[in-house]
Amino acid sequence: MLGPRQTVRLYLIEPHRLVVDALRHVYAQDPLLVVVGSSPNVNEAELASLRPDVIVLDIDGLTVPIEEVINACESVSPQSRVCVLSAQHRPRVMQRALSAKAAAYVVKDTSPAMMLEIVHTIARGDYYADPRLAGAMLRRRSTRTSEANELSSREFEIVRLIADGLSNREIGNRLSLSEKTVKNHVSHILAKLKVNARSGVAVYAVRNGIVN
Amino acid sequence: MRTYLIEPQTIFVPYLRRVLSSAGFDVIATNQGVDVRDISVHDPAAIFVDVDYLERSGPTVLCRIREASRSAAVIALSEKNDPMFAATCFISGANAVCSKSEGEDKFLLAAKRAVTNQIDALALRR
Repeated sequence: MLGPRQTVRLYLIEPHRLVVDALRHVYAQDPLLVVVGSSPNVNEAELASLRPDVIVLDIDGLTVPIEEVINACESVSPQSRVCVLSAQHRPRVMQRALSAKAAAYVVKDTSPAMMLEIVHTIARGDYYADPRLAGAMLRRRSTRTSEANELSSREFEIVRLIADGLSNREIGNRLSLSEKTVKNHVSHILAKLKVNARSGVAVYAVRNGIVN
Repeated sequence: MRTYLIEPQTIFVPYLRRVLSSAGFDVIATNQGVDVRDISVHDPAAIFVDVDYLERSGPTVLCRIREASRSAAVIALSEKNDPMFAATCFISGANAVCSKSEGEDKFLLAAKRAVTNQIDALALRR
């Protein structure tokens, strides 16, 4: 964790060159921020050797779940704090990012000055959630996600695969489970989510941000 | 050259302003893309529009821009590297469609070609 006047070393994970240049331009306004590197995706070797204080991760256009990318960052550079950057004003996306241990969720319509402040905030060990989305996120956590909290991690995985359109047999092959075991899991999921069919599970997954 | 910038992602506005002004595009007004009717008041010669994450779809906003300004060169900027999307943007009124995957040199090249009435087909060739 850094003190208030210490230099913060940043690493950008951003697939678009023009956006990388724009972010570098923003951070260059603050002499206490140094961009030590950038990459279009999680470059494990570079992250492990650079060990940045803050990783700025643009999640727009990701083809894999946000959680996977944040976990990958955390596993190769555990001391880094992840600042998720997105254009999405969606409480459920912010909730997923913060649940996956991101330290901040910043919407791209935030002012550059605020962005600089947020980076210092999380480098000091604090957290940042976009205040426009925080209220809705808290309401969601206390009501609509209560069913999801009852799902086991295996059931969560199966919900995600059902939403991807996989059959019980395909899910079984993917998770090395028998078709009958998958069928049992699906029955439990239907009961916990209080829905009657797989399509209801898929709708639930999409509505609650379990799948992109 | 009088330039109007539509960028819903505020965080990028200072950078785009700097890049554009370094190439002779004088940004006279910026807009987050919710309502573009004031374009006709400013009468710009060039309009840059980031078509990602606008309140309405990018092509819809491009049509509105064209209604507000028949003569300005319209340069669309997008994260999408999709020829079909680029074609839709052209049909909706863009003179150039630039990908954010390219650096500022190619972005400015496309912009300069657009203001001299050369339709930029880089995106379509991908």
